[in-house]
Amino acid sequence: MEDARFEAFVRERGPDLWRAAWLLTGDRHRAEDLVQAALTKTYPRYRGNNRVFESYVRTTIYRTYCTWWNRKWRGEVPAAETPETPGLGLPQAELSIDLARALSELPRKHRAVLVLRYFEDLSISTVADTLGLAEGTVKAYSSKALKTLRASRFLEKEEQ
Amino acid sequence: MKETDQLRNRMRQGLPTPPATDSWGPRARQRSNKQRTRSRAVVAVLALAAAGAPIGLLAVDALKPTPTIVANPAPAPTTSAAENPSSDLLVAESHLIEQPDGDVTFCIGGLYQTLPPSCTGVTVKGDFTWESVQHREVNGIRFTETPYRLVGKLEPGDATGTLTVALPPEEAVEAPSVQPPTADDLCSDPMRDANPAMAAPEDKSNLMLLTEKLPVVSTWLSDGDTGVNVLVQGDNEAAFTEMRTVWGGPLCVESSDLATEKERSAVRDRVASQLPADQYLTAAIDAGDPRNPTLEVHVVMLTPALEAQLTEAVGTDVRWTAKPMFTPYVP
Repeated sequence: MEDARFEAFVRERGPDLWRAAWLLTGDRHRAEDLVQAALTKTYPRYRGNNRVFESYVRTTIYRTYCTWWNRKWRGEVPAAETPETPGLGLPQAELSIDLARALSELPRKHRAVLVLRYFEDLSISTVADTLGLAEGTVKAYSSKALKTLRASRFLEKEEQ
Repeated sequence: MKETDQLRNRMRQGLPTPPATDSWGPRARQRSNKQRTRSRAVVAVLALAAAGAPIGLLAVDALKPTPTIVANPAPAPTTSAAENPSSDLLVAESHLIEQPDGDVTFCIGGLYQTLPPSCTGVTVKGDFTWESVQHREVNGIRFTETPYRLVGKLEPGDATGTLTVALPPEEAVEAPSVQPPTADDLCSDPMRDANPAMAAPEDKSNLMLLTEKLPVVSTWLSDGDTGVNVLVQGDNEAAFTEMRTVWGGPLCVESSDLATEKERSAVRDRVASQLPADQYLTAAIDAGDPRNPTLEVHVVMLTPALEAQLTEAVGTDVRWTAKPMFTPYVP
């Protein structure tokens, strides 16, 4: 019964979890790999409370992403590499490729901070809790990451 | 439009279509079950060996976050609860394991990853039943697979006593995963005198070997795994020059007046030998911010008397933190 509920949760929320993972990894397969790793880690803690569990899975995704640097994924996605984007119309595909390239220029934690702040819309203190960082560090990472994106050759500037 | 709003829009509009997720749930369950089975047999031993713990022993006090008292180097003020801890309720998180005679042990210090697991710790008394926790049973021994938060009275206040529970057990909140220390580059130009031909992983290994011979205060990697940052006592330029003979990648070397790794290690050994065995659990020499590394001493419960002993054992040159497993319960 609990297993069926877990699988239903993954079916329903998996796409959203994958989107966050894609913003972190810039790659379809790595995003799926990251979500799978987080689900595998967290499954024993599933108790049927989907809201609480999703928060737990998301935290695990971000922390796994930030700590895998010294194990599984030695290198970031090179800026010149084109992430796969099947199933997209051209304008959106270009947008996602540019975004992935721009984000790939950021150090992992800077990137995680940006995704948590501006994709998940979380407060500084929640981002700090999620990543296990001090609030000041989150602010510094966010500021540096925005500065890097501002200078990115991959993102077209929009009218202010 | 604001820059951050532009980024929000890009992140939401510029996403590819997610793949089908039907197979993810079953796959995660299978992998998780396989890992759990395997971990009971092999992985725990490997992890323990890698962590430097005695084979077969897992430090359970690392499972939960606990409040800390910091001294740098002066002792920190103690709380009123800590001044008379035996009269107040305490809270801690750990595993529960049944003993062959039926007693229930709240593990302190280590968990043997056998099946069923075993540990030493305090005996649980009071209104506790196994029905109040999620547990497994192997060979007639019941145990929890995840840590639980217990609130109760600890008598005596050390690893040999009994814990009379006052509230129903609660499953412990997952502790933050262990992460490598993080910090930014220590200098503005990590590529000074760099030589890309000497920036391979084996060159970095040689650099780490070299740092063992130097009065190193702290070492950390920045921005992924590329930049090496080193704090040394004394002449940082001389240390930088010496390190550049083996490492051509990003490097920052600055000087610091703080205690070296070797000095902190010696203090840790002294603390381990001087503190009562039923109070001392373990200690890490490089806790906290790598720019200001701290000796973190894990104890059962921090009383004023133990804090005084710690202060004396540590001395005046090392920044330290006490991390008690049992802390005063705040409703």
